Amino acid sequence: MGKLFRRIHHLVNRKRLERELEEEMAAHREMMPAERRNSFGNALHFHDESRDLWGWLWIDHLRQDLIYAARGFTRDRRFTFSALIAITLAVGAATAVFSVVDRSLFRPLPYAHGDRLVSVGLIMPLFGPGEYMFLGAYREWRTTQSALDLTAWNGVGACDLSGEAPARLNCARVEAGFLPTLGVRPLLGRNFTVEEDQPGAEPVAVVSYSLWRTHFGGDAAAIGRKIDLDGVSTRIVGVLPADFETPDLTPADLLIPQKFPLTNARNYPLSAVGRLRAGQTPGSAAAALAAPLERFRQDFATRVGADFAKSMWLHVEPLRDRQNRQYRLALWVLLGAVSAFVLIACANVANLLLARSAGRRHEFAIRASLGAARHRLIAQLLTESCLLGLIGGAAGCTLAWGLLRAFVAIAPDATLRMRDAAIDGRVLTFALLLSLGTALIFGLAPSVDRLRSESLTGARAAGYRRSWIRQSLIAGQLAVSLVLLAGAGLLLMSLWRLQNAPLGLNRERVVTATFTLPAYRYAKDATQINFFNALESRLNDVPGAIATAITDSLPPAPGPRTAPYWRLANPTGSVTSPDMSGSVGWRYVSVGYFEALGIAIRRGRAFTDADRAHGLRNVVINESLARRLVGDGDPIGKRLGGNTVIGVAADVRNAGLDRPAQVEYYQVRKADREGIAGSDDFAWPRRGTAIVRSNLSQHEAEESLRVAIRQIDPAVPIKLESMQARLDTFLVRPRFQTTLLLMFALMGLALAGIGLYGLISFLVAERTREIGVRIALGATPREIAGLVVTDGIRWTVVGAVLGIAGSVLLLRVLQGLLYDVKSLDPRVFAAAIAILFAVAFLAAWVPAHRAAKTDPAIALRHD
Amino acid sequence: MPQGALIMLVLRVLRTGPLHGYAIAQRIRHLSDAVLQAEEGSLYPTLQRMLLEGWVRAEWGISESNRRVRFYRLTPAGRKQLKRELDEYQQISAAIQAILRTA
Repeated sequence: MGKLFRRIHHLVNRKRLERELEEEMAAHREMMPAERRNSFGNALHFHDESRDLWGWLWIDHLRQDLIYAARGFTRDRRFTFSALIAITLAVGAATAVFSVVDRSLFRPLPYAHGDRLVSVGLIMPLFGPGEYMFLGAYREWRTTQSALDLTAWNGVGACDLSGEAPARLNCARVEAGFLPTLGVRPLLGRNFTVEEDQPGAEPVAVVSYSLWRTHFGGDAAAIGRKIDLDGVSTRIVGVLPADFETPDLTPADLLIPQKFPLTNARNYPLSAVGRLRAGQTPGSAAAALAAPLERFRQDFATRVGADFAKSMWLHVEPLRDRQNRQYRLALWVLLGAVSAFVLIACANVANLLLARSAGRRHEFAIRASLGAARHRLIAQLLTESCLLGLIGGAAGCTLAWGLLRAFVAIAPDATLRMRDAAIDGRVLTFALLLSLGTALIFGLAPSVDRLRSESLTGARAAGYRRSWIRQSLIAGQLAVSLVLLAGAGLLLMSLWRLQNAPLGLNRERVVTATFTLPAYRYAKDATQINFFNALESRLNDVPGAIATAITDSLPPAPGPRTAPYWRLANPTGSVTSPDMSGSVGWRYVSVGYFEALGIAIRRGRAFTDADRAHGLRNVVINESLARRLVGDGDPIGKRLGGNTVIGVAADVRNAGLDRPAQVEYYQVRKADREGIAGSDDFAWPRRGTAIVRSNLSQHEAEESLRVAIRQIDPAVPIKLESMQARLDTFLVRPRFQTTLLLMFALMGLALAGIGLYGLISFLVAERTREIGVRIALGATPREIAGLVVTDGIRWTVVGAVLGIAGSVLLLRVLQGLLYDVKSLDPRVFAAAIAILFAVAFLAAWVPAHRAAKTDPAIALRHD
Repeated sequence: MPQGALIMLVLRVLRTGPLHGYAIAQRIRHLSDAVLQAEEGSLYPTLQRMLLEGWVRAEWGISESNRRVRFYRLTPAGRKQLKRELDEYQQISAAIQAILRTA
């Protein structure tokens, strides 16, 4: 410790110490007898030796190298500028993308040992897509196996905070064991107990960190306070940590006890999360659940139907994979694209350094012959590379910060978790490693090669070989550019198709208002019905309205409720054959729905007020359902479960924009509770969307909707949205990934083009003499230009061939992101190749043009 | 002369009291009847090293010939180091003599 302290002391006082050492040695020399004075030796050398002893010689060297590097950089301004631009772009783009994908793909989940958490669900094709779990099975499975600890919750739903500061919040209903199983400890207070999770227990809640900060001022005294939640006085018992997130990433402001019913609730739906015990894997957990699954299957077969039971299977999946399933591919594609771009940029830097090194051969040879040790020359190069990397990296971080803001502006929606993305320590570390790595690998590798062969005499010997490396780099850059370009082209075409896909509805001039009635004011059926009836009559009074309607859901999202197909098609029989599989979604709509959304009626008729009469059960089905029921026949008048088909509506996209329409039917909204079946979503009877198609401006239409609802109940929170804006939200992610890929492709192409331009200019300069001879011997400028351009085109052809091969291999992975486009679409490829050649030609033409104008008299005097 | 040996000699001549660099070199020469020469060049780096290790302390003073010079003084750590080195040297030299006698 004392030694380290003395070393630092030496570093701080080095100026004085050196002076003292010098003085001391001078005194010594004076005291020596005159004839021996020369034997004192090289004082400078002893200085160095002493300084080395102090352990700080390297700092002197570093400072020298840095000053030297900086001087070199300011001299070669064009080189420095180009290299810094390339590094900045690479680090900026990669860092921004990393900050977006990191949270989803790499960063540990905010749970203790989050990699041991799995989602456990049943896939039931006959019920429709998604995963299912039931209270009966869950209760039994929790206790009859020892591979994993299970916990349950029931998703996030709207809830209302009433009292002094009313607000619409999101409540997650979870079991008492939920937080302990996830490995989350409350920041303050406690989790609720098993007793508090029983029906009838005193209502308690754990609040999120952000709610605690915004509503309770971050005051520890919030614990124990009572709030009015959905009209029920609820005691706060704990505060969640700031980084808490629910297993399906839906934001939640409060956790409230699930309070599962104790009896008669075997089919009660829920979501299950499990923590694998030591040594278990998702596979072994699934195996351990096999026996309990069989028991459940038999029970289910007797209660619900053998076919349902037979076709179900268990799905155990790591929680992270479950969270990312929707967009993992998109994230990996982004990461791949940005890596490709970084490669292009690195090749550019390598090329620039190679070109620079050609000019510095002499300098290094002189330094070496003046006694610079090899390791000092390498240290010089290392210093220069690191300096470039660090400056470029710092600029890149600034760029990344800007890019991230741009990303959020393009895609503010939560699915990519863009809001969470931030440039934090982890991301900055990534940027630092990336910039140093890039600079070192690409800056040093060619340079080491150079040092080996350098001498004062062989000034030109390595020239050809080096330009061979540079040509390969260029061909590689062009190849990667082509892959990026083709990928971006495919996404662009897919996006165009998606934007122009026929939806089956008319989005023009349609404005919607979506609301969920607060539970504390609308607990009774009658109050809900009254609200909807009042809304319906007010909508009819909206001035300028062409058509108005109320619905429980809007396309292209599916209807909130489903019925099993067999119950509709064959209600008397049991489920006997596979062609009875699947479920049919349905919507609860008012009479004007089809007119308001401009949905064509293909057969029969739309709803009229007469269909609302008590006891009538008339439905309109979509074309897909009609086809499934009767093929090409006429379904009008057919029975559909207990209903009668009165019309066939055109198919409307109802499973997202990019999927074909699924079977669905419409029930007319009545003036009372009749005909309303249940849903998994407990809040659905309180939820609705009002639709207005009008001649008004969007703003006026929104205002009149707002007024209509406020006049009935000003406490109802509403979300206004034009149909166009709503459809756009489904395009956010495709647009985002297309924009990014296109950006990387174009920047990559630009860098490759600049690289090609640089290389050809360099070669033209090298060949000035040859070109002069040719012109002197009678070559026309056209022939000279052709000579140079051919060179460039040759590498482009090599690059294009490599690029096509790479595209065929790599672009397959894009298929999952493409809508109505094949991953090897020949038109896209042709366009990409054409663009590549156009850029290459442009890059070659400028130096070729210059070469053609060479004056032979000057060229022949060229060294 | 190897640096290790020089360190030992410097430690040894400083045991009797503080000396400046030139005096250290002189003392080593005299004590060894001019057989051992502390080359001035290696003396100063060695002294720097010993300073760094904390075996000696340096103070500026005035020499007998009225020059400003740096006096080196043994520290307790230096004393300990000298003892260690002497012990080691004794052992090795005994071992070498044993070998020479029997060989």
